[in-house]
Amino acid sequence: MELTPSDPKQAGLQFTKAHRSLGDKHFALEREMDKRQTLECVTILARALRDFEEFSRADRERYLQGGLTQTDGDRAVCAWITERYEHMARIAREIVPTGLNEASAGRHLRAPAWALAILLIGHASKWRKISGHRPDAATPGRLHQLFRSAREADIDAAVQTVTVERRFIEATIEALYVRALLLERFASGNLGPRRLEILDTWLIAWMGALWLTIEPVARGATLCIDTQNSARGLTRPVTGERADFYLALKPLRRQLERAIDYFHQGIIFPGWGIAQSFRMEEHVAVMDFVERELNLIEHAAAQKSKRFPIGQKSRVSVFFGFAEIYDRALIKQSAITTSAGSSAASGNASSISGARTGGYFAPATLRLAALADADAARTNDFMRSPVQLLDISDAGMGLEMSSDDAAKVEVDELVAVRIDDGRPWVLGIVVRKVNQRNDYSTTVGIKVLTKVPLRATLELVTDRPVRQTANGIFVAGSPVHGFADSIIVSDATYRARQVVAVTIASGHFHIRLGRVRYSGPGWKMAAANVLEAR
Amino acid sequence: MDPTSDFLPAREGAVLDVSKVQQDVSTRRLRDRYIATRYAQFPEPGIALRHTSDILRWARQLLDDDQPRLAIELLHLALEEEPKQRRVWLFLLELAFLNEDTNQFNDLADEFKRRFVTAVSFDMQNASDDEKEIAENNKIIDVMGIELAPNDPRYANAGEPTMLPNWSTPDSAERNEAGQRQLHAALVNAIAFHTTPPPTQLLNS
Repeated sequence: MELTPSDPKQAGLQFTKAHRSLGDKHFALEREMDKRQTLECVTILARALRDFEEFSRADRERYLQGGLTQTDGDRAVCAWITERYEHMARIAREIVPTGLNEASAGRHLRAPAWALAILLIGHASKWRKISGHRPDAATPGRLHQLFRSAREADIDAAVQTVTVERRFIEATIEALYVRALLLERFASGNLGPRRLEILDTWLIAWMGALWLTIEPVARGATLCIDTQNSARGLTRPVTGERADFYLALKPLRRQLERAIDYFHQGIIFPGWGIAQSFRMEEHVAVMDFVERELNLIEHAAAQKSKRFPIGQKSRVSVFFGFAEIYDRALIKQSAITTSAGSSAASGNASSISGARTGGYFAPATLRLAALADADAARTNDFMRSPVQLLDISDAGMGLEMSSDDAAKVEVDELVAVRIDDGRPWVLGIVVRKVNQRNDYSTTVGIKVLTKVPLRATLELVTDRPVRQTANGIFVAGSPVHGFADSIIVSDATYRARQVVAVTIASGHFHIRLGRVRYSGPGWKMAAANVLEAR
Repeated sequence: MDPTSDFLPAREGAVLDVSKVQQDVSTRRLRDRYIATRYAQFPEPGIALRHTSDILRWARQLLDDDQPRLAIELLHLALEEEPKQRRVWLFLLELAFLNEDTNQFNDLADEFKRRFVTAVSFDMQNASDDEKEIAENNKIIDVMGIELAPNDPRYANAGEPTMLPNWSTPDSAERNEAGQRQLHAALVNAIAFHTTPPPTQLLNS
């Protein structure tokens, strides 16, 4: 049978008879497997995988290169690619010998079956995410089971040759297992399709560094695995919780530096794969992402204390836009006031906190009143449907909202989310929007700026006798030197580039709005450079 | 194999590899695109990376933003582009000293001495201002080195203890460090106030 991939020059991808017949071929192949030995099955499936990747290469490239506009054909082909990977992964799992009664030597010869199964689970996991599905909850359990059985058969360290993107890659079963677990961990975050593809190419190129140990390394951060816990993959070690393997992050850090070195030399790391043709911004974004993830894990202890407990897919209150967040979400907070008083602040806010003398020392009863005001699902007026929290990490969160509401929200928009009543609003930036397959809902990815934004009324310091006030939101950085602290202000306030005065508790500060760290429609987050403190 | 070992080449291993700056047009263009994307300040990296004072200021800002790796990478990129930028070397030396990274400090100190100090005439009466400054830098490096590696013979001529030279804070005169700390402390107190639930008994009052 001759297989013809879709024409990449067409306006969109098209699901053709050739796609359908390749799927049929896989079903026929599955039936045939029952009659054959493991090694034969592995050879046949590996060949089928190579054929499929050749056939779908143009489709995959085209889909990943595609912009925000997707046709029905694009979505159909993407769903088909995912389905094919999942189907082949299932066939591969079934080929893997079960039970421990077979001779060790025989098992060793069958090591390619494990390698293929784990490789395909990794591919399927990635494409589930690319096609907009949530991660399959059963994936970690399947991977653990395969790795445990590979350990029992003493083949986990056996080097196998697998084919990825027309390249022969030598990797141990252990490395393939770690790659699949890392993909699973990253695929549940806010990484977009192109970036996920780049990351996967990097992980494959880094497989020489994906080693597990049975004890945590003495120096440096690690992730751990409990192979008996089918619900969890790679996690941070927690005292008292079971773990049987550890992944040291130092080699990953070194690999990242090696990748950066390639870019210094004007080479897109690793020099092969579909991701090679992606824009530089995508590669640099993956670099930032991996650095951020490694930093978060390395500083896990410090981050953990800041984490808020939240419920999965719970309804949350949300505000978009600097003005709305300042005026409505944070209205009851009014922690910080100007030296000139709170005339420009809302009367409600000043009545709670008082002015001049440091609002945040308000009586506890008033604080309680402010927090209790968080009735469920307060939102901007344009939001017509409830907003659900999908997932949250230290650095980001995912919201699900109706596509109609999401259409009114821009990327780079400032967003405030209240996860739990009685807790401060979490302030972040919209980093991406992904339409779900049903077209009615959209997932909105948010990068968290701070979990405790501080509302401030600023005074613009000028020589004029009558001074103006301006609104600002303080975002405290983590270093104690304070040079990472920022203020979010409107574009108009930033443009004036004036020195602002603010009183916090008993301290009075003159602050220059410095370099812009983030910006979006109508707002800028600028470095808060202290000129004078009293 | 020990998974934490340095079995793969890493940037720290080589203090400076100027061969990374390719003469080939296409790789040069890719390198420039990478730098312009990673560091939004540089529309023309080939030129911007030779402006030492700008590089030092931007590196300091990255450190302030708690991005030391990005700052160090920027300094390395600047040296790859123009290795004669002495203040960039000094910035890196002070960072290595502050991070107590003895190996990195030693490598940088060796490279600094090789590139700058050996070329200096130590006839101080006839030395240029630049040479006097390099000699002064060298003295401070030796003092820092002896603190990190007390038994290292390369710092055997270290003189009297000295103040930290602030090579990594080029615009220190314009920075109000005490004020910045005071603002940060006030913000942290405000955050603590908002994240601490009020006493339970007040719920019923």
